[in-house]
Amino acid sequence: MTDVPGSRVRKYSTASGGEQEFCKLWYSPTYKAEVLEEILKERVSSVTHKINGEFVEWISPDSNMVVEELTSLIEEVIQEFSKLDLRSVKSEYLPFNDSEWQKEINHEDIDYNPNKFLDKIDNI
Amino acid sequence: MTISTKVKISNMKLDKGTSRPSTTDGQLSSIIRKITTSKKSKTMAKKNKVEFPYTFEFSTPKGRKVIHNLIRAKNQYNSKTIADRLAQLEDPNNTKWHNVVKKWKDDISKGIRTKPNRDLRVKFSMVKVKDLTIDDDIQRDMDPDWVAGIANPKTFEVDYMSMIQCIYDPNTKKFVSINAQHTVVLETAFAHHSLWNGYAGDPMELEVPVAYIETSRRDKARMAFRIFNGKGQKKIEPYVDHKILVLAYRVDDSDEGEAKKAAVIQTINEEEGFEPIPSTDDKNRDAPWAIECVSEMQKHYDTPERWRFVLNTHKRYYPNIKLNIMECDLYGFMHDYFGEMGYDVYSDEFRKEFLDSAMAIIQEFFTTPHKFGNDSKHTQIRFQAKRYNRPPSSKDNKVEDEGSFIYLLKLYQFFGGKHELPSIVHNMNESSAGDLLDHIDSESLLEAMKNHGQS
Repeated sequence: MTDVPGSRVRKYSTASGGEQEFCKLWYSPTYKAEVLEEILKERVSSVTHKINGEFVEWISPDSNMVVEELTSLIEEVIQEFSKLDLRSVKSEYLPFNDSEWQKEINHEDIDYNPNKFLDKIDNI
Repeated sequence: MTISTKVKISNMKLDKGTSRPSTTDGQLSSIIRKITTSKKSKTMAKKNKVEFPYTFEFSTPKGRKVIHNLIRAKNQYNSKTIADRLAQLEDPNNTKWHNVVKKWKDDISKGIRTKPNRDLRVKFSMVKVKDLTIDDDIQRDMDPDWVAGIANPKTFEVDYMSMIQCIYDPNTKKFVSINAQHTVVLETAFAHHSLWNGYAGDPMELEVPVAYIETSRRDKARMAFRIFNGKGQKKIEPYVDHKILVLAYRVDDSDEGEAKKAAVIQTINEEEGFEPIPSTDDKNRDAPWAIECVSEMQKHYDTPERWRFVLNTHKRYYPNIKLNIMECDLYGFMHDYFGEMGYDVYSDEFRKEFLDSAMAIIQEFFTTPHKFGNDSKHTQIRFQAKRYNRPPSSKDNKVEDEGSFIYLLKLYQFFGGKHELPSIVHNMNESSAGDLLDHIDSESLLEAMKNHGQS
């Protein structure tokens, strides 16, 4: 969960020593994203990775969960909790790796013209 | 990205450019008055029935069922060998453990550390009372009332008396008691009063079980006192306490009152499809009906039907997420207050007229009870700050037990709910601070309240 996906993906790249990208992005007011995050953590709690006895925000490498399953799970929660109103960023802006042509993926531009950047709720 | 706007509801001025011409400040004031007017009777509520603006959208339960770990027959014991536990510990995923072992081995191989000496392990002996001294600098002052508490005839059990913990100083050849002085004094006092069956001799000649470490170092003794009294020990989490009580009743046939109460609550959990879990339960962790707020559950040992209502209400509205701690009081107070007013809280009428609408407010503006709880907490803090003229950051601004319940009742009433409400809805309304609803800062909720006032 982040306010600035460009900065976040760069941090992940720096930390991992390799270029990273977000295969999907969803957009919503912060408090709604917080609800999604909370429910999602509950749903993946049995496959959450532990380092030094502490749960960390990673899926355990020992689990069989793949990226598609995780994104499906997110979409499932969004559909189930319809009041969340989370909308996915259109596929033409993905995968997101903070390229020049993706700089429009920011609060101001999305809020100004959400339909340009975001899928309709039904398309989630 | 959310712009927070603080507007006092009772002072809310409508924008004449955007509001409907027919809406006046007077009308808005009348909405506010709804919050403080007397409650409607059940008959009135039916006559004036108006469609509530929000409808709860129910979801189908789809999470996997929990595993019930405490269903057990009499004399049915579960046990593991130490070898089982060792295998569990050696699981490669336990990285913290493996890092510690590696550190030991590395340090020993580098000569930084030596292998721990088995001879230093604690030893046991029966020692005469006259050969024990109590280090007054290490132990706490003796509390005669504590001794009396241990000796309470209703609860006293000889086999629960702990062993006396000492250091044995090889230089002075003395046992110095560093823990359990109340126990050894009680043991001696029972001999003094000839209360022991099997001992009638000189109290000072009484032999007591002593666990001791051999050292002349008092600093070690001081640290031992801290450790033996809980410093650094793994705390017993509420689940373990609950499990012990439930199994004492179910497996061991205990007639202890607390054990029976715990078993009653556990039976309700199982009947309703829930299960309390410890922090280590990997198998149940992602099951939505696993209960993590065990401490809150234990507070219902004396009010099992209240707990049943909490579980029922949770699974009716949020079957696919875990019970949140704030729901326990929220639904619990619904059970208490409406029950006291004579309502059947399981009736269709109550659900349709009050519960569904109240929960629809939570779903519409906060999505989950947890988020509602957070908003309620901050709204109450702003109210308290204004009421007592304190900064909102002051730790003196407390959240009331019934605060979220009152907040929800007020919102229900504001949005036109017609079900009779308990008089507690009038609380949190002070001349110095206005009404609790005056301190809302959720943009979407304020917008909806403004629109409702205009409709």
